[in-house]
Amino acid sequence: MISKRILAGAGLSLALLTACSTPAEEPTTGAAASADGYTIGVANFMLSGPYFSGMDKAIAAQAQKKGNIEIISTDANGDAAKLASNVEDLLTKNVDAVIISGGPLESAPAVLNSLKAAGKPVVLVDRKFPGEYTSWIGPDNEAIGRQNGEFLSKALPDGGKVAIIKGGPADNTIGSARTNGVKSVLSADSKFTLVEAPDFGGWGSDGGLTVMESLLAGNKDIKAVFCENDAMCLGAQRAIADAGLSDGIIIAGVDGQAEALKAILDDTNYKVTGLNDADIIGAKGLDRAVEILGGATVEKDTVVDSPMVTKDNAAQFQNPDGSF
Amino acid sequence: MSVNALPKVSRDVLVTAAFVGLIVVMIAVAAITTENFLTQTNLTNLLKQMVTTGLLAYGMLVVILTGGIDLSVGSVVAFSGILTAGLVSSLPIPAAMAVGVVSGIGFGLVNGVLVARFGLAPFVVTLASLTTIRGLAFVYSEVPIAPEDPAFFSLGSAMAGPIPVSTVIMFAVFLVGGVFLTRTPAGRSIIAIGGNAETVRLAGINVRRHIVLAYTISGLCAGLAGVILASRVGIAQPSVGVAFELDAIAACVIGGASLAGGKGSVRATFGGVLVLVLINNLLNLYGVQSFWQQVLKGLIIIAVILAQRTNRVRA
Repeated sequence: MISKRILAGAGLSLALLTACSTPAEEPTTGAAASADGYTIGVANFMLSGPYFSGMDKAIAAQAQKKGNIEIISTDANGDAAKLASNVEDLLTKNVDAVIISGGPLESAPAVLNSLKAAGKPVVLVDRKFPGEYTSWIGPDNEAIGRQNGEFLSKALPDGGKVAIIKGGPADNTIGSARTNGVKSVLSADSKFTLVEAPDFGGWGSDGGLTVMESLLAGNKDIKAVFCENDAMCLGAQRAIADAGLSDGIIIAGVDGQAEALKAILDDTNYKVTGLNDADIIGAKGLDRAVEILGGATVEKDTVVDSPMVTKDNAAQFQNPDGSF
Repeated sequence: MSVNALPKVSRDVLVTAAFVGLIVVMIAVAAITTENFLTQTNLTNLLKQMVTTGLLAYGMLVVILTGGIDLSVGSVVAFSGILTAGLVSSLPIPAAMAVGVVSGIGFGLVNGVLVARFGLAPFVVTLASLTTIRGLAFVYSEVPIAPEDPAFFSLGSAMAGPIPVSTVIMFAVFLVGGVFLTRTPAGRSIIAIGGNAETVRLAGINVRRHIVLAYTISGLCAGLAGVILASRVGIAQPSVGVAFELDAIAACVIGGASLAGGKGSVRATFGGVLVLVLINNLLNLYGVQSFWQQVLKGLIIIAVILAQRTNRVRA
């Protein structure tokens, strides 16, 4: 009786597993499958976030475009230890190279060491880890912040109070680089007062909304708000609208999330963002890995430009087919 | 009998008095020491910010009363929100929202059946559904969904006079929910099950069915909370609601509910919600940095529970 149940359970699990695996994964027989092509492993620290899942999709899309490249993608669910074991698994499958999308992870020494020991090239996208890697492609977050600061400085000739909504400890160095960029411009100018929200927005729209509500309770005279990403700014925009202050407060974000681009294009109080495009960074990361495998000598660190997006140019960055 | 009953009553009165006192003191301190606490903006913020925790806490209380726990509520919030936002393009908004709430009811039903019919541990069942439902939310949409129709925002931002409509809904859930638990046979059975399931079964009450009902109510509350939150933020995100179950459990526990089941009150749970929201609001008004907010919040919860325990022992 019990063994029947176990069998039934095992059968059900197998059926589930088969049902969930996508057809693309079926010919996964390791590197040997693509005779003259490459197998590239993608180690994602986390996929729960449009930016990160967009990055993963962009890498896969670029591989498809190039043809003859097999992608094995893994997700560590935000667990550094899982990331390390995922990379071990990729090495067991004998991938030719590994692309790491490190998300909010600050460093991954074990991962880089095992890749070095295996002698496989490592391409980091978005997040740069300290240690030995072959190549890194990502944005200059402080430059994005400075860009926003300069925009606000021009948009508010009379100065005033500028609120800053930070994302939180999970992504500290990327977020603080953005905030430092804004501050470096605005705090140099005495007509601006900076108000940093005490609570973190947690990188989500719901957090941005609550933090903005708290800020407005204490500071009615805010003239502009800068958030470390677009998702939080979109929430802040709702809070400002609910308070009936949309005419008096302008918004500056970072990332180029689709909803933010739309808000900018629609001429709302969302005025500017810095494009941190997962599609571009992911595609370039894949290209870089292929170049390395082809034996080319490549640049160690490549900064991808993050153009400032305003109403004038937002349309050209709207990409209906983009993953992000 | 009556001799034993006497101290019990005074004990409850004492605990209630101490609890109400705590909330009054918090509000008084806030009003005196900050200039922004009693502003209309801040009070509206408070009312809006208690909606999600409040709804989840009521559902959690019903489950806790049976001696169970529902860890999946945060994931249900994410799923019902993103489902509603996704359906807005093809359904009228009220219908989309109804489907969102129904999805919560469905998840609650599954949790309840697994716990009651198959006798699995509530912690394990809802831990598994926590990850399953979160995964389903991402399967439905990896990216946030922002419906364009401004009517989508109305549930979360409309005001009924000085009080947000969403808060009125939450109050209504507590009122109706309070009557349900204390005045109806089904509600009383749920409380009795947590006290002693075997006695209840011997009394001829269908224990399984009432446990399923409790989890379904929690799913309903979480589904409703998800729809309201998505409407309030204007964007539904599959990643929303992580660790929401902790605040809901904390509200019940601050309100004196016993995780062993059978003990807990709707009114005191509402007080627990109020304490949690006040703590957040005050620490923000004082400009306490986020890490310290987490530390202080934990310490305050421990202090409140200790105070209740001391009261009980002394009385």
